[in-house]
Formats: sequence, structure tokens, C-alpha cells
Amino acid sequence: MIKTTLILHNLSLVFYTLAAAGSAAAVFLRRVPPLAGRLAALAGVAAQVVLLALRWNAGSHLPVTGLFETQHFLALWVAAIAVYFSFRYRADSFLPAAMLLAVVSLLFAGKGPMGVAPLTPAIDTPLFLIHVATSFAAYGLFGIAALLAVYRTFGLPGSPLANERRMMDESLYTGYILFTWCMIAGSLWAYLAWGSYWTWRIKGLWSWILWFYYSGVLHVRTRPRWQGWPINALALAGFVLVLFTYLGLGLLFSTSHPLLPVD
Amino acid sequence: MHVTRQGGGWRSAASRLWRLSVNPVTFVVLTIGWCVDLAGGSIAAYFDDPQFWQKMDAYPFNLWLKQVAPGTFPLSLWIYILVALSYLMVLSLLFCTINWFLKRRKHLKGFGEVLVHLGFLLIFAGFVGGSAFGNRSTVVLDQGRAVPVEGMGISLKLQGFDAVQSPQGRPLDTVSDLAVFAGDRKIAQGMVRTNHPLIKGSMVIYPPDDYEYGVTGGVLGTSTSGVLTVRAGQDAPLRDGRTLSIGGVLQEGQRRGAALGPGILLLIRDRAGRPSGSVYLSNAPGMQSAAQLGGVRVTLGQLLDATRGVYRVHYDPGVWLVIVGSVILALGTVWALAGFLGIIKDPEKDTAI
Repeated sequence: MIKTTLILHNLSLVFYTLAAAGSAAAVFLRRVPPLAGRLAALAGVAAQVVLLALRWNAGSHLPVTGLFETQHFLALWVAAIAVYFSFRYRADSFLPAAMLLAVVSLLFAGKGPMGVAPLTPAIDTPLFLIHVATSFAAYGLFGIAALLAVYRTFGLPGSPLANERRMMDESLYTGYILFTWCMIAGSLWAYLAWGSYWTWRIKGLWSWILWFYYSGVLHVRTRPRWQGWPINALALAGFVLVLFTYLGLGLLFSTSHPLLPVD
Repeated sequence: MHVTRQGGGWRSAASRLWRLSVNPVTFVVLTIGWCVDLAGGSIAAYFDDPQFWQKMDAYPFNLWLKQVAPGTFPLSLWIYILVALSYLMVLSLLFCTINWFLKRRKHLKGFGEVLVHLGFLLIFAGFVGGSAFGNRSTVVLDQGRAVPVEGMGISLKLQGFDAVQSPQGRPLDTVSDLAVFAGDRKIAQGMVRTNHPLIKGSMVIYPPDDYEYGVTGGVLGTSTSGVLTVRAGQDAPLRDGRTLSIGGVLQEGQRRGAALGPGILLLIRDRAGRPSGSVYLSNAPGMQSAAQLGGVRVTLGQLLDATRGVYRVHYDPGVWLVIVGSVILALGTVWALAGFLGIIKDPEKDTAI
């Protein structure tokens, strides 16, 4: 399983790198058809889907446990949304940045153990799997929204201005809803496993900060006064919060959600 | 005329206050304040005392606020601010929800979002109820003995216990057969394990945080200090000031290296408490039951065993409101998402962009 995992992991890395290069060449140099970047990204998505399906089959549970699988899930979500945007909104100029985000996520995934581990009793519940899957999907969408904010702020060349606002809206809205499901599943799981749907622990508290923050963003996202730089700044600051909640707390604090398995 | 102008002034002020209350920007400003307060406070509290949160979780929130928070003032000031901001945010949400019903009764646009608001309001009400009237208790149960749970009018009895371990002997889980009594009447019974607590109404009993199962110590004959009893966490003093203690145990059928269970790893510690030698003693076939340890001959008489668990019992009268609120909130998100996806399918209808 580890050999197959390694092959598919590297394949998806190569495809996403090619997609980033291909779409950048198409947008900035106009020497490659935009379809080339999209197809390379699709090939990367396919490699990841096969990888995660094989691991699902081998472990008999949704492959969202541990650093390797969660980062793969994040990369898959980012890449799939970027491909969707490129086909639906012809947002090929967005592909290079999104693909680079997916590549960074996959490189980070490579830091974690690649073996398929059995579920320990504490995480052997569908609530855990829903909790993790929706949280990483939401993180991916918030990341996409932040990248779009960068595009909008700096007016990058080839940027499909007409659709950026719509893409950002979709990313923020669906990301928020997925994160809400993550919070509900996590709270219910905590109630059944540890006795309280609400615990005063730093990771949980910062997750609530994220939820309320994006609640606020959703309330102002369509108000005229908040268009332009304010909504861009909110999307960027939101992703900084996401990174701190996920990586900062995991690396700097002793939390209930360690980044690497604690033995 | 003057009286009329005053009445008009009041009406105008009330109207402005209402508009401010139902304005989403009010909620956003409160949210930003809430986030900043919690972010700063949580990090300050963590660095002041990494165990701060565990101590806070040991009490229902209101009890903690009344009994513990004043002792940590001014560090706990951010929590008082958080409570005030939370109530203001909830009021803003409540007024906004009421406003929706007042203004938009004839069509269902935005109903998903209103369900999200209603769900959150119920969750908050449940949290407040649970914080005010809830109770948390920890009980130590020896197998076969009923123990009253403080402040809850019930007693618990551990009827059976099993420790689940991997083929390599690594502890994985526990399964407890628990019974709940109100007086002499049994009101609930069930098997409790991780992710499967025993739930009776608003009361929940959780698997043990800590437990003893099987060998926990031994009775020893010593050449210098007579017969001694040593248990995990309970050392036995020798006459010369040194102590004997348990360094580890192996249960029936367990093996580590050449050592076969059941048996105990016996440590001898000097007067400063530093381990200065160890030996594994067992009554299993082929294993040694006597040995020299730090110049003392020790002989294993009998192994001591116990079955005991430390259980948490939570009573939270608000939890069902929280669960109903969560269901409504989840339904609201599904409704809202369906509406949003409808907008995506027909960009011409999307007036927000």
C-alpha cells in the first residue's frame, strides 16, 4: 500500500506542477491552449481520487485521519474547486495559484506517515470522519477565497474580473456551510466521547472564533460599503486565522488536535 | 404640542435603536469584538497556566464564573467581557430574526438563514440552561459496590468491567457494565465504552478516565523488613529508609521480553527517591518469585488485584435544546445552500453580485 501511495502521491504532485506551469504559460505567454492546464489539473485530481479510494478500501474508513490524508483531502478540494472554476468561469488565470496551493499542501502531506492506520476507539465514529472531512473542505474553500482576494487586490494579469466576485462568494458561502457542519459533528462527537459539546480548550475556542468570523463576513459580503478592498481584506485575514487555528495552534500549543499523532 | 414632540422623540429614538439592533453590521461589529476578546484572552490564559482550560471544564460554566473566576481576576476579565458580548450578539440575532418574521412573512426568501439563527439561539439557550442548572461529578467505583453521586440523587454500581487491548497488549478501550439507581430502584443500565456513554435523560455517564484492572500490587516477604504490601501509587518503606514501589505490571497472558504475566516489576528507591534497582517477580510457571534487590531478599507471596474505575457523570438540562438547535441549524444550512446553489445556476437572478 505504501508503494502505491507513494507513486500516486508523486503523480499528483507532478500533474499539479504541470497544471500550474501550463496554465501560467497559457495566460501569460499565450503559447499553450488553456485546456492543457485544465487537463493536467484534472489528471492530478484523478490520481488523488484513486489514491484516496484505495486507502478507503484498505482502511475501511474515510481516509481523513492523520497528516498525510488530511492534507491530501485539502489539496484535492482546492484542485477540484479550481478546475470547476476554470471550466465554469474560464478562470484559467486562477489555476497557477490554486495549483501551487495544492502542491504546498501535498508537500506538507509528505511529512506525515503514509501507512494506513486502524481507527482507535476515540475516532471510530462517523462523526469524526464528517468533522474532519468538512473542516478540510472548508479550509480549502477559505484558502481559495483568500487567493481570489489577492487576485482582486493586485489585479493580476489575465484575471477574469467579471467572475472573481462570484467565485469568491461561492467559496465563502459553501466554505462557511461546510465549516458549520464540521462544528456540529465535532460538538456532537465531543458530547458522546468526552461529556461535553463545548469544551474550554484552545483549539475548540479558536474554531469558534473562525466560525463567528466567517459568520460576520457572510453578513457583510453583499453590502455595497464592504465591496472592494474590505471584503478582500476580510477573506485574506480569514485565511490567516485558518492557518493559525490549524498550523499555529498545532505547532505552538499543546492542543486536543495535535498535527502529528501523539504516541 | 410639547408633549407630542417628546413622544415623537421617544418613538424616533426607539425606531433608531431598533434599526441599529437589526442591522447586520451591528452583529458584525459585536462579532469582531467577541473574536478579538476571545483570541487575546485564550492565549493569555494558556501562557499563564496551561491547565487553565482543564480546570475550567471541571465545573458548569456559571459555577466556575461565580467561584473560580473572581480568584483569577484581572486575568479572567476577558471572560466577563466575552459573556457580555455573547449576550449582545444573541440579542442582535434575536431582533434580526424577529424582524425577518415581521417583514417577510409572505415569502420564504432567506428562510434557511433564519433557521440558522433560530438554531443558534436554541443552542445558546441550552448552553445557558446547562451552565446555570447543570452538575458535574467524578466517582470512583469498585466493582460490585454502589456509590452515591454527589448532588444528583442517584448512585452508580459497576457490575462488570473489561479492558480491551491490542494483540500486542496495548490498552485500547474499556467496557464497563454500569447500573444507575434512584434509591433502591434501578433506573438505567448499560455498557459504557468510548463514544458510547450511558445516557439517561439529561444525565450522561462516561467511560473511565483512569482505571485499575487486574494485578495492582503484591504482598512481599523481605529479609530486612518483614512482610510488606506494595501497590501502584502506594510505596512500601524499608527499615533503612529506602522504599519498594511498583514500576509496572503484567496481567495474565501478557508478555514483555522474557517476562510473562501475571507479575510485578518491583523497584527499590534510595532515600532521595531515585530508583537504584529493579526485579520482575511472578508466580507464572518458569518465572522467578524471589530475588535479591539492593541487598534485600524479596519473595512474592501473593499478587493483589482490583477492578476500579474513575467515571465522570454530567447532568446538563440544556443539552436537548442544544441538540434540537443543532438539528435546526443544520437544516437551515441545507436550505440556505440549496437556495444559494439555485442562484449559482442562474447568474441573472443573483442580485447580490
